[in-house]
Amino acid sequence: MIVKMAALDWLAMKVYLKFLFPMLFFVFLGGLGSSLIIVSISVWLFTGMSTYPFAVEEKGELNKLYLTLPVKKRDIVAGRYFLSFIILIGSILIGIGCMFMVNNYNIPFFTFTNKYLLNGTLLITVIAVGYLLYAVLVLCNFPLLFTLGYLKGKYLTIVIQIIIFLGGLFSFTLLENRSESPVEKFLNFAAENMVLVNGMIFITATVILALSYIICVKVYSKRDF
Amino acid sequence: MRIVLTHKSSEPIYEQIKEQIKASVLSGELPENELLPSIRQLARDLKVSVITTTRAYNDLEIEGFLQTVPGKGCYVKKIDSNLMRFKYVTETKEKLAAAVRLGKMAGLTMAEIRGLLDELEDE
Amino acid sequence: MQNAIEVKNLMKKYKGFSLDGVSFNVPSGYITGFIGQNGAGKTTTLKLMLNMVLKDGGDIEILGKSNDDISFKEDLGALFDQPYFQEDWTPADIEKALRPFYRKWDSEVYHSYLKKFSLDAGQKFKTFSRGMKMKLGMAAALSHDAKLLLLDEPTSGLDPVMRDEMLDILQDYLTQENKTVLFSTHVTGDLEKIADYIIYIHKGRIVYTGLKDELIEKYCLIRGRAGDLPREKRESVIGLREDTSSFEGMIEVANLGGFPSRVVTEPVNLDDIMIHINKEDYKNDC
Repeated sequence: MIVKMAALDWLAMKVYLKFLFPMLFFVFLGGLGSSLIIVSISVWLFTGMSTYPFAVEEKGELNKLYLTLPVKKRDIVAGRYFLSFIILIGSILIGIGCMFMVNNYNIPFFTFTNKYLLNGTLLITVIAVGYLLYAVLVLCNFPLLFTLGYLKGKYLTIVIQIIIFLGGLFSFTLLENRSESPVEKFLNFAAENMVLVNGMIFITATVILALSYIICVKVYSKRDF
Repeated sequence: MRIVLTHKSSEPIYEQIKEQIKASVLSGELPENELLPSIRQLARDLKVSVITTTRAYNDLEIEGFLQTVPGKGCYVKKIDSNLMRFKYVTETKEKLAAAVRLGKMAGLTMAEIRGLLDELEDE
Repeated sequence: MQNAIEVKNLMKKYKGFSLDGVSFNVPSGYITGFIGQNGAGKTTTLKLMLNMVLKDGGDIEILGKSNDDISFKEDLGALFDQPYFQEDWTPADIEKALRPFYRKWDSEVYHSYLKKFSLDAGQKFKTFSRGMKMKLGMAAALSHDAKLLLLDEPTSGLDPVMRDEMLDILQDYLTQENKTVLFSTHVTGDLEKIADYIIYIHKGRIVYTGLKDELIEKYCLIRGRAGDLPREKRESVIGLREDTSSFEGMIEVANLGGFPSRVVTEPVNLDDIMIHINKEDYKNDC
């Protein structure tokens, strides 16, 4: 049932796939800072894409369709989460692909600070961070969108994401400018304690995801259409 | 079977259906054992409610014009048309007698009452 | 199953409007018309049935199950004033979208309806005319062997030809046994012909529920000269309208005694009933 709902959402938002290539461009652009964050940028942009089903649903008043189908409200929420998760996996793969290209080939016009090389342990950490970022973004977006709908919730979610972006950018550049880069220290620590660090990140992200799911189900069930 | 209804008459629809089916049976247009359209099919064809056709068929069954075979449908019943005709003639006579009594109470002569009959024919 | 839908004491409170202990049954195998003015509570009641809106009290049973159990929707086809599909979907996409959810989806039936309604399977939903959209919605609703059709104002905004076609479709559907239709509308002319039962809702309360014929036969219109309205009869005239020379209103046939034979009586239709009951209400509120 969850997969069916996800497929339905996908069918509804298929039209917006035309934004795929511009987004790839921005992924590259985002990597200008460091090839390390390409994956996170990719996750961020594509997680934005998983809010399209909300837009499509609101525009076409599709909830009037969904609620005539033999589907539990809980599964409507779960389907959207599932779809966003698939998109997450896609975005991580795309991010890794871009990272690989940037690290190993000289692409004209894009000069990157190739401080960090692609290797096994770092890669997992990068993926874990991407997953955590996804979970946080979903927590910021989905409950608001499920409560208020797209039109009303959209602005609030944009505001929140801008705050996160600025915060992230600020702290990243701040940290990078110190001689002893805490990021480098963190990455070395992560490389040495792979299981601990990555495990913690994965668990935190999953807990956040589960929490946001529970909130969304509660909120969506109580809503009057 | 052709039934033509009018929604503007004061006669209820189910009565119109009844009368027209009865007339078809008596005239022989609907032969014995002919399968009639189902209640629902008739409702759809005449664009009336299912309850209306149900009412008509029920009455017709009680009056002996048709017979429902469960699972199969409604069949025209063997009608002794002479007997039916006799029944109708008797009823017509009784109703005329009542009308004559009424007319006489109102002070009409037989000629005037016959005049009313002629008027009815014109309508 | 006797009743396709059973509603008991349904309650829903909104600001400025509430459904106050609404109870009725929709018998299986027939067309039930759900009438009432705009804002009387028809759409709210239908939404409550589908759980689009949460009830504040009462019980709803659909096709033998509590309406909290969503499995009844397998056997349900619903259509609102227009079908709600993604605007870029084609009828083929609509099938792709709906089919996984219904165990009894029949592709052949769907395509035969598309053909019957002259709907191009490759045309985008947003480009269809209003009437074609409704037919498409019906095609989708009728393609999974639904036992119950819930329609909310399905003929509003349609031209008379299209309305007639819609009614044909509904009556075709009913030629099968055990199919039920609940059809809410304020275009009562449609119901007058083909409805078996009527539920009349007025300001959040059920005013009548029962056979359509009984409702129509219960009342009649009455008209006469001003002097012909006996004082003791004033109360029994519903929605009385009078001027210096004449009076007009609606009255229960049972209350016809006591008027001079000069008065004119006429059979009512559903519009008359709604108009007069509303007038009466308006009078009482003032």
